[in-house]
Amino acid sequence: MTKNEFFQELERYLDDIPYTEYQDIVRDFEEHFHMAYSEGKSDHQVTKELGDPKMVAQSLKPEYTGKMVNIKRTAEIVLSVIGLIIDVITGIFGFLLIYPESNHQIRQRMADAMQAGTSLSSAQINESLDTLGHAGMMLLIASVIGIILAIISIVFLKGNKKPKLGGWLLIIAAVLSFVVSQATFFGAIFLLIGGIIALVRKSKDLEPVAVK
Amino acid sequence: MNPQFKKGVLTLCVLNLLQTVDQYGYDLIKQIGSNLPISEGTLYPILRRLKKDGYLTTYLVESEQGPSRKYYKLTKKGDQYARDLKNEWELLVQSVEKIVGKGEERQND
Repeated sequence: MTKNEFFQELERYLDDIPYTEYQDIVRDFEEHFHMAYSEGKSDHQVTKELGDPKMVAQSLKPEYTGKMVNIKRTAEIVLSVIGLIIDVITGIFGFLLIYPESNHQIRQRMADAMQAGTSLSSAQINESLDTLGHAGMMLLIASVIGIILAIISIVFLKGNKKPKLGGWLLIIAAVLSFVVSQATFFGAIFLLIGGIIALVRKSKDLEPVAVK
Repeated sequence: MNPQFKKGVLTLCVLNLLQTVDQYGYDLIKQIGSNLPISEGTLYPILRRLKKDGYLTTYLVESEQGPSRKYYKLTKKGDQYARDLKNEWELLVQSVEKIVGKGEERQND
């Protein structure tokens, strides 16, 4: 096994411990490899002496079990993904509302249909179509904001890399998209809950609970 | 070797080696690894555990070449723990010796 393979394996088995802890563990092993190299040892010799990375990872794990099992951030990520999907749907709605405004043929057809069914003047119909187009534009912008920020948050939450930043981004995504267009309410509520959970659960990963 | 038993023995070794002088990980591990049949990688988790429990502290010393070295130092609590473990160990060895020694006598009869 090479040094890279050793670290890859280690990362695979330690993907759910706090990132700062993981970095510190990697630092220790980097030091170990460096010292061994200076004694003229090869990658293979060093990894053989160190033993199976899986075993190393497993003996590190007990420190992070107990209350630390929630460090996977599964709930937050699931909520973010639901919010994200809803934002995609509302974004499509927004796009459909803008579409008649930019396409004259469709707009004309809609106007004709509305005129046939109601006693509205063509000026009133134009106005309502404009309003609809404007609302659609806001909805599209709000949804795109929600989608982009949610994706970034998920990246930060995955593997518990930067849960605090991810949590705040989700809250910002929720508030911002809701302010721009209230129609994103359903997506925003999922993002908001996900963000709050990410922040509330944060305290636990700073003090891993020892299991004797 | 039984993992729990092994862990106990390794803890005893680590703490006793640190009683005389602070050491960095690699040296510490080499001293144990050259005498006992272990996977050296499993000593790092033990060191982390001992640090978390307050038996050890660490400090970094810059190295001219390569990464800085992490030195391990016994705390007061760790020093006491090392003595306790050593006493327990000696007691255990004596007790086991009595039993195993008797067994040998019986075989010789």
